[in-house]
Amino acid sequence: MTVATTNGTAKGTGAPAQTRKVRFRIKRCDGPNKLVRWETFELTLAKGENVISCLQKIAANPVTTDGKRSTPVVWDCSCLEEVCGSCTMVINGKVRQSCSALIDVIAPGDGDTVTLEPMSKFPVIRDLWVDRSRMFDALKRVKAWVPIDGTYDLGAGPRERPEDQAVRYALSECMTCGCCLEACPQFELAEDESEWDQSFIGAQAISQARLFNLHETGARLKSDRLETLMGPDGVSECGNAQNCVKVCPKHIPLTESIAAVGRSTTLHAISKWFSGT
Amino acid sequence: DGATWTNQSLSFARSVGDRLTVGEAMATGAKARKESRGAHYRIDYPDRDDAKFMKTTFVTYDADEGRARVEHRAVRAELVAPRARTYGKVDKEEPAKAETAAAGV
Repeated sequence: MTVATTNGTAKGTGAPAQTRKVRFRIKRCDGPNKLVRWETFELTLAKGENVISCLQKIAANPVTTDGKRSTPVVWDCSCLEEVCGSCTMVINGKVRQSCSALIDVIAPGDGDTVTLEPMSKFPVIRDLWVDRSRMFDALKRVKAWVPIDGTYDLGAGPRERPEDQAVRYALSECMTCGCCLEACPQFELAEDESEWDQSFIGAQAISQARLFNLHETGARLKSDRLETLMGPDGVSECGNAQNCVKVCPKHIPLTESIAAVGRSTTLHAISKWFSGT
Repeated sequence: DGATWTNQSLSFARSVGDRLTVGEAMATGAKARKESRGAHYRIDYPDRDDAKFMKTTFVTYDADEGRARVEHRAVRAELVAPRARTYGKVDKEEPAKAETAAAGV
């Protein structure tokens, strides 16, 4: 029989679970251009919690460690299984998904603190919730799709060799979470949409461009994708820090993609010089 | 959420009706799948049944009857032959089960 308590779950035959106190120091903000403040909440937790389950507990009773009654902390999430990329935030200084940040791993001891901040490279909506639409705009600019006539059933797509599928599968795992861009020293916060095509596009879009360039039908747009990535926001802005591949939660070979696209754009530029297109 | 801008509780409340509709569709489809397959596990049908259920479930809303209607469409599997998923475990008493689980046994 499992018994659920308000302070976390007790597993087993109803015996009280061992609990510990964990403090959550959270960077809060009520909206764009509003004042930033830090609030600390303390929770009594058993095993098996993650950052989101703790944020839910805080939302249920948002009283800070100073005894002040505050408002529920706001965050974004969706799948709760590290496949959607919505819940990315900076936890104890590292950018990662909050749904897979297990408290037993990041704050195992009694009295440990977990620091939560929103990603710094995207405009903050409220508290830990940021606007990631710049990444989706980047996917549109590199035409990250396979161009087909969608008005009727075309039947099966082109077959691919298992070796090619293995390369493309690794790239397809991208969930547009933003970790790579948060960690990248060349990628900068740009609040205004008009600045986006002048500022480094980032590893995510470059890798997705490569994914679609490697598809037999997707390759029809290869020229367009490479032209986009040869602009002032393109692959030449990469500084080779390699932070992106280090923080990617899906272990996507981002630096391999950037290198491959760098080579493709060079070859494209040379062939353009000869053929004019 | 008590904020007057980008209130998450408000957008969630708007979505509840749609979530219930999708939930009904999912439950109806699951009820129709009389086998166990992957994450879909049934105590009354604990084995996989490729003969009857290696199909995709399509659920449509029948406005006349006011409820979800399930249909099953065939799945293309000519490139990889279906076989049992044992995740590396082999039952020593029933080694034959590992290979025949897919055959509708």
